[in-house]
Amino acid sequence: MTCSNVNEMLAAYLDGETTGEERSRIENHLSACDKCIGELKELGATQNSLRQALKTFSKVEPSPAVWNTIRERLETPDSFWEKLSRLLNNPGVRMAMPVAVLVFLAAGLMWKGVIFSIPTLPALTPVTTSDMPAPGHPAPVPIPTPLPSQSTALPPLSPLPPTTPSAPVVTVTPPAQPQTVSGEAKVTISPAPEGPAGPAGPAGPDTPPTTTTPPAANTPPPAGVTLPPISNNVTVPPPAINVAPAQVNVQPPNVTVNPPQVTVQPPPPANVAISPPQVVEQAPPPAAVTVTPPVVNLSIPAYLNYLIFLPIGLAVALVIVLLLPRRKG
Amino acid sequence: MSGQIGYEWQTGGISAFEAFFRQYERLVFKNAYLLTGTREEADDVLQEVFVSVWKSRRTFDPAKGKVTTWLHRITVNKCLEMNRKPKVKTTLLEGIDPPAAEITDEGLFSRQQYEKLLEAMNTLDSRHRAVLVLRYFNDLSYEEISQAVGIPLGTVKSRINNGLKMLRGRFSLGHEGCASGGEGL
Repeated sequence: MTCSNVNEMLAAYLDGETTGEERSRIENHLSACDKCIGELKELGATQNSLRQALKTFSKVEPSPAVWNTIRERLETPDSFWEKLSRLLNNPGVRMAMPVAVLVFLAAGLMWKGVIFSIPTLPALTPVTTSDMPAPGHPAPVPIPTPLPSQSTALPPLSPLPPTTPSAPVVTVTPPAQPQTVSGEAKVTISPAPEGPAGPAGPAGPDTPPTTTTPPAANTPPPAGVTLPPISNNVTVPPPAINVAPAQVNVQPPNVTVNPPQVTVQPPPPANVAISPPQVVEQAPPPAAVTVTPPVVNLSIPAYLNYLIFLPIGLAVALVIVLLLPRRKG
Repeated sequence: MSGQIGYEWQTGGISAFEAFFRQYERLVFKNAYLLTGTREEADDVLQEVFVSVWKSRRTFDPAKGKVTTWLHRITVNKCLEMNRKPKVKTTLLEGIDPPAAEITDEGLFSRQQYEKLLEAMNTLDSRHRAVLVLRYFNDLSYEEISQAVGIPLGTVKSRINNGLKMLRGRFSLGHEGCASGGEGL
């Protein structure tokens, strides 16, 4: 044990407040250290002088009027602020206040979506029965954004060059026996639908069109252009026009053939692509009843978000205070 | 006896509490006087201590500790709350009638030496002064001081040791400058 360690324990050694082991170690050190022995004597003299000086206060008496003042205070009921001050000075309340603050902040953060978000409902619009379909009639389901292939009102296309590679694929299979037709044949060829990976429009480089025409027909008819009348001398093979579904939209044929031996069979996929899907749904419409959904306003002013959870935090703090053991004094 | 008195002042009215006050008022006042340094402040502390005791009298459990330890703790806390500087030279020694000369182990201890020692005592900070008063005026053990002040036992030991050394150093400086002289500590 060094002199520094002994000096820190000399007062306790003089007061008899050291353990047996500490006492023996101190005494072993003092037996060989004159400096620490001198420190011990001076500290002992200070203790004795202080005791005697403090005992001189034995004749000091409190003021006789103190009890009267105390009695008046005891008979006066506490004010609100005194009760509040005593409550806030309660050790339990002091310990619970940080907990309440944490609960308050956590609740606020959760509500604001920092910890987790609460989904909000979209605004509801009133619906009237007039908007509902009659019983037995399917209610058309509106298609929000029609696909390009379903467009039935495309702007007219400019005529394509006869040999352009971007012309739609039109395959005309010559019939087994040539037929002679006369009159006009109006064939409107819509542009090919937009492919999933190719560019829009029929001029996509990834879809090079191939045109197969009979020998008599030198050029394919441009899209959206009424074909010139076919002379009677033109030999047109029986028109089995196969249009690739994914590339050509052939509207319902408007082919006038005189005599009507020419039939143009539109590809089934084209019709499917044009007509929008309809969902048959029968809803019993209440007669002349306007159903207005209740307007639920889930939005809360920002400054109230935290105030809502203030009672929760205070309740938690109160529970903690009640559960804590009371302290004396 | 203490338990019977404690039961009466805890459950009785103001009259029973007055008996409790008369029993301990001097003890509380002297401690407050040593810790604050003035009579007026000691009276104020005396009031505050017994008002607090009245309001929390039912929370005291005699089985868990002595009532004097409880009173010491409230007194020290009230004095620390007031946090007022003691006015040593003007008021500390008023009303004190120490012996003109007293034979001690170290020799003659004059009134002037008392005054110098008490002045040096009140130059200490309140934390060191509190443990010295509780130890050398109230003769509390280190464990009781630990309970009264609310600090660990090791802190009590270090504060008493350091407080005595600071007191000795300040008293020696003042004593050396004193013309009357006398034996040092």
